[in-house]
Amino acid sequence: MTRRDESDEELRDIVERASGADVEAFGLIYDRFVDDVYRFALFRLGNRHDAEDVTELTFVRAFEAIGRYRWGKAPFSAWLFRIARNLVTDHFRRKGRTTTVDIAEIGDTIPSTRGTYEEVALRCDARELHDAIGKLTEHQRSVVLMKFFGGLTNAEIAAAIGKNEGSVKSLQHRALAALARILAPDEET
Amino acid sequence: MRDMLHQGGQGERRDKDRADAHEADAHEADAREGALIRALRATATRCGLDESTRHAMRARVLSRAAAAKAAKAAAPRSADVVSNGPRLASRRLAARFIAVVTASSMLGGSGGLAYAAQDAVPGERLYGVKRVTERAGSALALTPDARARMELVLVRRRQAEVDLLSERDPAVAAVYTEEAVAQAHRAARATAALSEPAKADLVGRLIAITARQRVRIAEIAVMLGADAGPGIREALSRAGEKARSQALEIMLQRDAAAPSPPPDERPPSGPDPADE
Repeated sequence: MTRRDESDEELRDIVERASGADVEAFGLIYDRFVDDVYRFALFRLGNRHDAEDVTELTFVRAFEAIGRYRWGKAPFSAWLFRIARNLVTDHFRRKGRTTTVDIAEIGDTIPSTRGTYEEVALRCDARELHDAIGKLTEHQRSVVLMKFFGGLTNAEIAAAIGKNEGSVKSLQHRALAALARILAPDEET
Repeated sequence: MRDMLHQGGQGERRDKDRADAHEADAHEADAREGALIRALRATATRCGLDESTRHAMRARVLSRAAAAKAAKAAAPRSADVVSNGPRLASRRLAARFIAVVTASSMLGGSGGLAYAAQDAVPGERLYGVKRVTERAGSALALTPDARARMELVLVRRRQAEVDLLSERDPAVAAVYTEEAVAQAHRAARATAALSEPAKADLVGRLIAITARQRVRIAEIAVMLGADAGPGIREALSRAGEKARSQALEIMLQRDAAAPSPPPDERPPSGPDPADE
């Protein structure tokens, strides 16, 4: 049972209060999901400034629309990420695909301790990872970012991108294989 | 027959070799996938929002939410039309239209709508117009001095809004206070970029406004009834803490900007190394 499952009822209560325009309850939703949405936007857009704008707008739009959200129809996180995903698409439509990549500021080399394949991670910094993710297909990219940066489950991702869980698993598998090829081409046999 | 058996044995060995190779490949793929997943998760943990951005964004989101709620309560029918009726593109056009009208009315000096919006507070329909007008004004402030003065005007406005909201609904004021404090932070950054003598004057005014801000935060804390939820109290507490640390930073700006005493008034501090 995941952390999300355990607190599913709690989240339902918060969402229902927020649906009645309870600003305080909406603040709890913000606290719970803001980092996940921001990380998704950051690795999708490539710079902090745009990621912050999209994250803020995601929550503003969510508050405007939460009265129309129906619990059980789709997981709440999937509904929220769908808003974020649409805003990212709008952003690219407005500004084009060129982004100022300051994502390298995020940090150093990823720590790693063992194994030949750990070298994939060892050599990989945030900028490389961002560039590699950028080479995936649209759906593969969404799956990787929602799963590992947004913390969504396969079922939640499936609802967010309009696919079934099997497709999500397959997309994830192909995405990771593609990332491995991009990041560590020498290890391909 | 022996040949067949031999071939069969070879076939079995080949199958076994192939199965071993598949297993090795699977292990390799699993290891590669595992390493990548660890890499992705490790990167994700490092790229969250920093605390100050998270709080400032929270204040903006919740103040806009509170404003939307109040607007809906004031005019439910029109709010329904806004949320359900026009499509996104039309809404964008409408927003651009408002921005152009307010900016041009401001520039042109007529400013009917912009003028009417100046007293609006969060939750009122003209409040959006007020903020658009402010953005237009900020865009016209081209020098550091003009920018700092504009930011200072905006701090006063945000504070006046908090004052008014606290009389109407302390809970809404408590949430909105974070936005006022965030604006004071923007003003402090703008004054930090200034040089003398303009800096001392503007920093002095900012100190006065932030002192008023802190008093109001304390008053709102008292006004909040027992019904106020922990989220609202936390928002106010965060605003109070931020306002306190900001006040210190602004004081430091003032101290750094204070002119040093002329040489003959300096306290004796031992022999001047230049004399040696």
